[in-house]
Amino acid sequence: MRRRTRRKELKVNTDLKLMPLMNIIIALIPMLLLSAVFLEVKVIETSLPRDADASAAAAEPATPPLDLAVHVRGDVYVIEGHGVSPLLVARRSAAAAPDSVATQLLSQALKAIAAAHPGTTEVRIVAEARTRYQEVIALMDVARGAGLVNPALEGAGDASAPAPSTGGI
Amino acid sequence: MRRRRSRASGLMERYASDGGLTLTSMMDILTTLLFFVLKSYVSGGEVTVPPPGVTLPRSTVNADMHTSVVVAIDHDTIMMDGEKVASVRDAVSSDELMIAPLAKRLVEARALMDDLAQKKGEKRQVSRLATIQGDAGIEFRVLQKVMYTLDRNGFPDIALAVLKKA
Repeated sequence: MRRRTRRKELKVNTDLKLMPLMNIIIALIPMLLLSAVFLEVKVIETSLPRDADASAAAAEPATPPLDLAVHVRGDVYVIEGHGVSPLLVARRSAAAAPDSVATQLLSQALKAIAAAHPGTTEVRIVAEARTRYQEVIALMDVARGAGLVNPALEGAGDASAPAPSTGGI
Repeated sequence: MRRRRSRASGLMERYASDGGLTLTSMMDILTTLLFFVLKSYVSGGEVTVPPPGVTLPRSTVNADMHTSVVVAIDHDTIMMDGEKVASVRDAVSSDELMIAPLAKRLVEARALMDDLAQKKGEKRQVSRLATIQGDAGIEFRVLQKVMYTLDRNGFPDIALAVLKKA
């Protein structure tokens, strides 16, 4: 007589043990959320002009340079340059940055000048001593948006002051 | 009667549960969240946090930050690498463009960087980059003096730190 062996069923729990992993993840997420920096810090690269640039500028050019500048004055922005009639744009002196109307007017004017003078990439932002940093940065943005990718900073009323120029933003 | 009872017990066996939570879907959510947080944690380039009290201006520029000497300017103080070196009031009241205490610290930092590079035997030129983390509300004259001081003390390449506009 053949003996029937009953195979004993081996019960194995195939479920993954997720609790330790859950514990790690639950500890990790708050830690990362607390230490994460969600604000993106970018930079505008600048440098002061070198002596070589100064000597080159001193040399007499065949045609006078455009020497485009945006002056920040009491309640106006003034766009000036050789062969460019001065253009005034109203400025709110108390504001931290140019308002949307001023930004649009400045942008249109600078775009028109850049289109009329192909190859021009430089513009001086001539700020007053008390001009806010945010306003200077906003004007640099407007100039860059208009295709003048090398805006330079200059202090108004101080000829000896350095004129830092942005390079290859 | 017996038949109904056996049917009920069959159903109970079929849908029997040991009372454990179903964690798989929660794990999916947490894993996705973890990857998102990890990705935003280091998004490339140098990650930096402006010092407390400094609100950086906003700009549309898109250049990443690099490792450099950091000069922070808030409404009261000028700091270098997290340490106060000069006060804004003194800098503004002075007729000189050069801010002397900052210049001294910059010369020291420059010497230290050159010394380290020499000891390491680095042949390429040491970075002469300095980053200015200026508060959006500071006056231009302060920024101008800091930039001048940086340039004249071995840091001609200057980066203005800004927050990227959304």
